[in-house]
Amino acid sequence: MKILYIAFKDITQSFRSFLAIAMMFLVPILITGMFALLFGGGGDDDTATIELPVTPVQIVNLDQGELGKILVDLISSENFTELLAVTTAESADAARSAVDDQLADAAVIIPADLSASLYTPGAQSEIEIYQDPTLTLGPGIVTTIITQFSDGFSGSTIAVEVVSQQLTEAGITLSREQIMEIITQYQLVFEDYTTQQDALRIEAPSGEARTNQGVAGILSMVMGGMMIFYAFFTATNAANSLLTEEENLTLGRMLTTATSPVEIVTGKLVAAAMMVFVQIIVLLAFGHLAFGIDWGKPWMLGLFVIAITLGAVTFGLFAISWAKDRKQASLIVGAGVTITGMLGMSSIFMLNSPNPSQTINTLSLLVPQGWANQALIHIMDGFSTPDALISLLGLLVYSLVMFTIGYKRFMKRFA
Amino acid sequence: MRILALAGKDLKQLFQNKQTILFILVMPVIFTILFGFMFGGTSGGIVEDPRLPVMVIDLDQSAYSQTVLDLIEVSTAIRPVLDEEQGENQLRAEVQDGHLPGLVIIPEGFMAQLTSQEIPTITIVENEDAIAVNLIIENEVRTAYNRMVNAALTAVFSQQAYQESTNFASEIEQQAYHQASIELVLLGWETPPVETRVTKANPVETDTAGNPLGENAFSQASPAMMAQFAIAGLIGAAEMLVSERRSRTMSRMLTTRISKTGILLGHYLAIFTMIFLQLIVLVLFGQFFLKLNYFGQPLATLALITVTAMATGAMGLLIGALAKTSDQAVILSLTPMFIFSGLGGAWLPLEFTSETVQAISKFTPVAWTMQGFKDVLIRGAGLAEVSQPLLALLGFTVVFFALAVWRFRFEGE
Repeated sequence: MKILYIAFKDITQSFRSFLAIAMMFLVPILITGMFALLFGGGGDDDTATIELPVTPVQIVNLDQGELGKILVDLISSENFTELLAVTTAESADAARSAVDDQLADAAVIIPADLSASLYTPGAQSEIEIYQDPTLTLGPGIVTTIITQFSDGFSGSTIAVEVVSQQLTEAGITLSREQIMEIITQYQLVFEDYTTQQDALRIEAPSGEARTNQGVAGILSMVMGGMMIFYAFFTATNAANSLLTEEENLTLGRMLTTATSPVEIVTGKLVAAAMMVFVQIIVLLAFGHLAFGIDWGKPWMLGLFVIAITLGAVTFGLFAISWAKDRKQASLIVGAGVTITGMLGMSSIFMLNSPNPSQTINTLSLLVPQGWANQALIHIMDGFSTPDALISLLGLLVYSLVMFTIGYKRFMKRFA
Repeated sequence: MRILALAGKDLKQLFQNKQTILFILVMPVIFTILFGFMFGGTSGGIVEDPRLPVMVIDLDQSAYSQTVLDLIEVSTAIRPVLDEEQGENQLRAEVQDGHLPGLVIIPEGFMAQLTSQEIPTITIVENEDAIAVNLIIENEVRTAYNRMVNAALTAVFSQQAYQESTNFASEIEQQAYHQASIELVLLGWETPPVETRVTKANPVETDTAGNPLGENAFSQASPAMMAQFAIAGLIGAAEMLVSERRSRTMSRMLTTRISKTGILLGHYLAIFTMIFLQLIVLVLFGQFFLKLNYFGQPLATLALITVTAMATGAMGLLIGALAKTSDQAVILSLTPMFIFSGLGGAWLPLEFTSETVQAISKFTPVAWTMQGFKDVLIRGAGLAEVSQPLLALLGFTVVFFALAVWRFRFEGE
């Protein structure tokens, strides 16, 4: 009963603090909401796709033949209006200046000999893409479009050259009509191949086909990460009340009553567990209702809630057990929780990394937040049950170790 | 003189607090390194092959599937790594966890389908949230696929044209002819008639080891953490102002010969100096440890440091003016830190966000700090070229300072 009294007092005290409420609920929701805004999605529309910005492109056509005009028409066509805002420049220098002055993200410079290169054996021509060095995505899209175009034309030229060369070596001479026939046939069949959706199948790791990026996927990762981060913050802050009571001498007074140190520490742990539990449930419900996040199988999610509650509470006990006074404790709450939390969430930050670090990935499992994050990702993505259970088990093992060390240190301190 | 004395007292008080040191120096350094490594930074380490490693499961094991691998191998952005032991399920899990950028599966019967002019399907497994990485992988695999199709079709057409005139003496001769076609096409792709060449505007010479996009991975993380933790450092300063007001120290100061303006300027000078010193240390750290080129444009860098410290310092004064309690000081510091960092491009480059967000970002000082420093680091922009961020940050300084003066209360409640 005493344990419950202590827990109730701590919970009441915490829920009266605006800072505690803000850190438990408002900040994780604010950050997830901001990501929803960043990616132009959210709400309960789980089919919303990421709103890619339109890339301003300058194009200059110096080509004397038809090919340059075809390329200009292609990238100015309606097919790309959602991705590119194309403006024609008067010269190559003007196009480059527009990029230098940050008026355009990329400039496409079609060379004078583009068409000629296709009809002159051995000739080479270069389409230049001059891009803003601070950007990746927009110029990347432009490069993809131009490369597909130039490869299409290069491919037909190479095909004709190879066929002609092989037949010539075999003593067979092709007429101009035969060459044109080969080009026409090749282009028809090649177009069939490359425009077919079946040629490349883009899949999510779970095996489901994917044609575009969904906002809900990113938001679930961000909100999951924030939920874990702030659950550990709440628990550590709650455990800090042991030191607060010690410094305010209320702990000493409690120990003069018939309340044992075991009951006091257990009461504090129950309070922290209740707060983390409520926090997680509220954030899960909010994420589902406001952002349309599908958190995965309910029974697996239930196990996750239990595991993260235990993980966060024992982490708090463990971390605060190393602090001599409240000053040190606030350093642990501020820096310790932030650094371990960010490390645990590193896989989320690395999603758009061009070269995700394996070292950081491995290091993320050195902190309990890393196991919690991995478990939640596995549950959300419908991975096989053993994968998710292994991650949850990792978190529970961590909890056991942290509880043993933290509990022993506090018992020794209060003895 | 009194202003300087007050600023000196504030600075002494701030730097005596370990939490201030932690927030303004230790944490930004740790996070810059963490984020830099996350984005492929190696800080001068030797990387044998900085291209994105993409695992490949070759279920066909044919000459054609090998050709696809060879074609991916010539990519400058990705490198194929043939799976030999992990298996598909394990690799899919690695993609999901972000341990692996992508997985390519070449199906069984790939060569047979291409030879009979059917369309084989190559599967790319991607983490659906990794937008930029997916774009790179899809582009490179599609290019390799198209070139393979080109080779296969050319071989078929060449064979057909040959057979219209004469027949192959044997199946071996036919196969040799077919193989020769493929090899000639691949040779042709080494110097294609039309090529695409990407050039970057005024790139700054920098250490790009470990990043297939050819940038120093810290050129985003370093300014981002400087801008974010400059605001985080305001917690201590705002708490100090709240404490002075609540303990009626400010009221007592007003009984002396220092004016209200003097008190405000003294506090502002202290906050400005703290952030200025913080940014100087972080710039030095970026220059010498992260191999960023802040010193390439020393005047522009110094000007950006100064105006960023001025704008953030004015924000700190405003927070100190608005907060009535210590808790409020923390909330009022952390909230703009989260909002300005998120919307200003510190967490995610603004180019990945919608046009609406890009427009909104202009109303955050972090966006201008980021733009200014990134222009210096990546473009090599000089003082004149960063005038826009400088003016914008000066504008924020004026607005925040005016609001702080308007809302500042010297007496505690």
